[in-house]
Amino acid sequence: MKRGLLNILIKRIFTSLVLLILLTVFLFFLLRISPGDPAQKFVSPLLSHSLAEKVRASFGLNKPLTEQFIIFIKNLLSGNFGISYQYRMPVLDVIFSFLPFTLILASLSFLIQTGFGFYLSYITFRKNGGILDKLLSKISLVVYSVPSFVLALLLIYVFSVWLNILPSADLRSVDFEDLNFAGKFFDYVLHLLLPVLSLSIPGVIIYYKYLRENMDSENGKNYIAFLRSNGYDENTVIWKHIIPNAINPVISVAGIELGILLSGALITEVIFNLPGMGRLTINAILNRDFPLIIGCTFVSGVLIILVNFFADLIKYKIDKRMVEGI
Amino acid sequence: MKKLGLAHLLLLLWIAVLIFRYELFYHISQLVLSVVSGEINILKINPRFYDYLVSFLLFFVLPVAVWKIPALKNIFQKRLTWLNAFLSLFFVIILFAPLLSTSNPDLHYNIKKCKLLPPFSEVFIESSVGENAPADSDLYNYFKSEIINRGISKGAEYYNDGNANEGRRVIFIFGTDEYARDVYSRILYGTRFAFLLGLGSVTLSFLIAFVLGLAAGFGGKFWDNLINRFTEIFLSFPFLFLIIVFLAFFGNSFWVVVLVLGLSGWMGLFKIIRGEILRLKSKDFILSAKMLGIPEYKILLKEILPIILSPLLVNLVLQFGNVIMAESALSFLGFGAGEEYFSWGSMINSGQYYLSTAWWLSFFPSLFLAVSLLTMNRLGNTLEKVFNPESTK
Amino acid sequence: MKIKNYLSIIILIFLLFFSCSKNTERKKRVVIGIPADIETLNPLYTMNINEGRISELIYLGLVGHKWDENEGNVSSYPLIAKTLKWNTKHNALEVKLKDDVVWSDGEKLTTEDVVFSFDVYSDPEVQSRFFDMFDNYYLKSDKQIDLEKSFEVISKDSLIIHFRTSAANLFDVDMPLLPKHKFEGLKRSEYNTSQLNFQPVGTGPYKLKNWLRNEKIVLEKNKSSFLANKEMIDNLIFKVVPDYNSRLIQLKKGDIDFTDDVRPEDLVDLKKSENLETVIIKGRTYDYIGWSNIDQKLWNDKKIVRPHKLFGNPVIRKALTMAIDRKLIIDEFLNGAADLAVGPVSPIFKNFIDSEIKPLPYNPVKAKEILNGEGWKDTNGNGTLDKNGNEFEFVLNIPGNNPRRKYSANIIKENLKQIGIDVTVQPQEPNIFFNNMFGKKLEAWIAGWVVPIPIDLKPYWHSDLEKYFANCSGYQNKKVDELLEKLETGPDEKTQASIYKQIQRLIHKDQPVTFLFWINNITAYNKKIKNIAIDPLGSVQRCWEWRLD
Repeated sequence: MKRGLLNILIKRIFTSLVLLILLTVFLFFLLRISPGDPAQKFVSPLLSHSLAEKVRASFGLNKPLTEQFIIFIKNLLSGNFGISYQYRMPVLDVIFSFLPFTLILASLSFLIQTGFGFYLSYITFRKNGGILDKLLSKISLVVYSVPSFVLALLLIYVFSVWLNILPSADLRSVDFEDLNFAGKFFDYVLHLLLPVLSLSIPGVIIYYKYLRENMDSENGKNYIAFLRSNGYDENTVIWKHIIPNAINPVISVAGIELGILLSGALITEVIFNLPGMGRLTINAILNRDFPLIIGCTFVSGVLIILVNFFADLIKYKIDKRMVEGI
Repeated sequence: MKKLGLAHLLLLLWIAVLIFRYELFYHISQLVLSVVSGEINILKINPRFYDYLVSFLLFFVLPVAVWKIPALKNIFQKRLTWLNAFLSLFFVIILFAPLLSTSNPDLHYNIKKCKLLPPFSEVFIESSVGENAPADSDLYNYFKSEIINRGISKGAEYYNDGNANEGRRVIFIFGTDEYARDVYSRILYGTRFAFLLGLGSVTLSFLIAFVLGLAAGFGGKFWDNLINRFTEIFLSFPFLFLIIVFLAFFGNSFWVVVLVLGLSGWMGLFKIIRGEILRLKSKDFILSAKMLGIPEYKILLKEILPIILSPLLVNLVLQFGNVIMAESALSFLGFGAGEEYFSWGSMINSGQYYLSTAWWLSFFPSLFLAVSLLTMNRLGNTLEKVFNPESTK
Repeated sequence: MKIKNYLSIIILIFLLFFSCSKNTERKKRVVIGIPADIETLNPLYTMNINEGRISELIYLGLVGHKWDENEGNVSSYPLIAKTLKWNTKHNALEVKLKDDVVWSDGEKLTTEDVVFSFDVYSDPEVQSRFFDMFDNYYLKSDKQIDLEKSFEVISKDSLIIHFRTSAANLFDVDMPLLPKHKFEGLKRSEYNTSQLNFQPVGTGPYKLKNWLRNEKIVLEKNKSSFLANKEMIDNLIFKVVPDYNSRLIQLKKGDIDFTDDVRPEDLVDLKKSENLETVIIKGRTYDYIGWSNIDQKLWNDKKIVRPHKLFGNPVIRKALTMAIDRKLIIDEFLNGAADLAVGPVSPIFKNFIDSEIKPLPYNPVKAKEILNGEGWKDTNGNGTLDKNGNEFEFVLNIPGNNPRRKYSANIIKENLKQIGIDVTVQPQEPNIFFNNMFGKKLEAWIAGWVVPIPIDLKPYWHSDLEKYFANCSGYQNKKVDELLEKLETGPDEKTQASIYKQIQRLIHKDQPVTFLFWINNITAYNKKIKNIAIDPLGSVQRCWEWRLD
């Protein structure tokens, strides 16, 4: 049984990887036919006319497309994405200098989203019809409808412009090095508070809504009534039966959400000026840094595949019957 | 609140528009008369005038229609709720934007005087004289130049015969932007733009989902598997970047945005259509229809389409909200439909530049955006309750 | 109840941290806000302004530059060189180096480093930003400097540079010098990816301490430099703050001490602040509306020059300029912090600018009369001018990321609408925009140029479009060509001034583009910094002379 599951999952990963490679190949050709010039920076009346030509040649862009493609595929298969045009460093080095931040931000807001989402739905489920329940069901609908960039602007306006107590951008203060350990920690907290909030609040509401609805619908099912009438303890009913069944469908949603977070919370990074994958990718696109664009897409793709793999695994742990489902 | 019906709200609106905009109605009817009498060549009319004309006619035809058509009348007799109030407000804005807006959304008022005015500012604007006259005047002249002459001969020609002491008061309900344009009017036209764009790309998504759903449902196991896999990939990858690559590289226009958003939003719809088709295929009445020799496409159109439409409607509405949100997010990042359209997202974006001095520039478009998303979500939930009563208590 | 307890504990911890973080004392350092991270510190590849600024604090050249406010021109003085002596024919320069110049890793700078640097800068393999800019030297066929003919090394600290022509000047030896011993081991084609781009070794008053990508570049005093002195500021921090508003807020809070490119509308607010100083420098950056003077399609397909159907006529271009309220854009968007431009010579070049040329007045009525006179009339009554069945309508392109040009474009659209011209404003993604602009694919556009110091007009206005691709509007004028070529022969200052004035008059008459305005550069800094000299050459240059209170 277990081996069967693993086989299925590995097969899934494999097909996803093949599709990812197809996607990068598609991107390769899309970039080559798209307008714009990777050597734009070198076209200027202050520079020699032939410099841009030379630079283009050093990027390998003057070779025929088929030759470029063969080099690209060779590099891809050996795990080498080439040298970033813009940073003049190996693509993976550039990505790995941006990835840790994205990982931290993503996991932080993911924890907050799922944690608070679960906590709120559990509390309101236990106290069905209480003040908090009523309040949340109203608030959730409103917050759910506010786009994250509007929320971010609102937070900046209130906390940075109006109250002037939190920094509106950046990851660290200038005098970061001079701070003691507590100071450093606190500096991070201050700077990350608004971005994490604007990234997490919509997510908390999404999880809250899903879980709450699932709990309610589980609660209405016959077997729960059966368990209750047979005198099972309320805690057992909730923790052993309602919650596992309610969480299960949410896990794939969580997988997708985490995947999106990992590929960079673009708008949040742009507004708060944070050095994450999202901004790296956008800058690469705007600067026509072909190797970096492809590298970013590939790394995000791999992360997403991994996350979905783990989501499937966890789903299996919770409900062994679902093997047939995938 | 409890006793109020939808009709009361709309009647109130109707009367309010009539009172506040009687001047406009007068001008429109005058213009219509002069066109009919041949005083103005019909070919010279700015296409924009027809927009005004249609709104003008609808404004008087609709109440009659409501009175006469029982189905419409029923809707209007519904009790007033937040949902139907906002829905009908948006409808009113979309249909009657020209009548509700106080300015041409593209009109630059006198920049020296009217730049970045806070909400509810009232300004006296002279219909001035002289060669370097500021770019606005009283309503009739405005119409003559804006509508009849395609709004081009404003400066040099007619200002010379204006009277220096005359003018009109203009109220900027939501303030003015950095070009001294009326934010309120721009937002109203922005509603039209957002809903049109939503409609366009949701239709596109639906068509793609429908065709693929049919292929997966009727095409056999191979196609079903292939398309399914394909959809899963589309669902899990962050296509935001691909969208941005497309918009950045291949120009931004209304249709490119519709296309790109339509292409990236069909997955959920496809899953539902496929599921419904697979479920229906095994149903007795379809099987018996098949045995009776009715061709497949006829069964499809007559039996299946109506059945799948109702669960689909919920998702279409939610998708509609998603598209509106996605468009404003893209415009906010500077990858939207461009300068010539009234996009809430780009209004919020340019307002960010003035966030500390002119909050209203981003606030009001944000408000409209959030309210329209809220309305769409609410509508989706309500529809779900109607179509699928078991799912909720 | 429980939640309340938790909450109060959290707030308590919050406050505790808050109090301790504020207690850190500020060291002797100045924080300079910059809008974007730099990509390299290697002077071979520094492209943008901030890269140049920072790397020129680390790497020094043979000569330094000073701005002469009275002359309105730049003058050079020996920096790494102790003395510089031209021969009588003005085609050989004798250079003696200062004795106390050492690289920050302890090695002494010698003439070998000098020769090596010029060799590397001109090497096509290296692709440096100065490649192909050494026309006054003896060159090999691949445009690399012929070292044998050009450099005559006499000793470790003196050499003679021989030039091909007598038009050579000190700007020809202006490159920051590179440490030979650091670069020697590397392949030349690999210079641009080498680690040395991030670990500079220079002779300047500052050296790199650390560099956090997308956050900040920290420079510290280079004690071994001959420019170092006791009182100079210990640390210079270049902090990356892309968002303009945050940069300003941080300036007011004291998180950053110095920033350029302040927007004029904030000037009033900044002046109110007690601890801030603002300096306005006349600009050498101008915005213009480019009109395609030539039929681009014919040019791109067959390289034939023919006038453009709308903008090929100088009279029409003049009318367009007169129809645009340039002053309005200055007043409303730039809060008056700009000067109307009449030509390509910046007002900072006091001797060269022809102050007798007055800007064309804003006069839509006159503009329309001129257009009517040229045969553009609204014959079909649709409000747009037409001639022989063609409507006067065009697309005005702007780069999508520039609010100032977006503002200008919207005003221009509105202005031209008034005289019966139908303009569509189209923002393009910047990379595509500039690609199209240099490729002569745009009919009308708004862009800007920075006038280089020393001033050089030839790349922008010479009629030879194959060679001078920056003449994007395809301006054609034989007389201007002649004058530009005459400037290259190295005439004296007085003749230069008269030539520049003639060029300006010709360009003003032809209106190849509509010059909009020179944008003032506003710098704001904390009053604790003393002894700052801000001039058109830049604000951070010579910051080793800055002092702290």
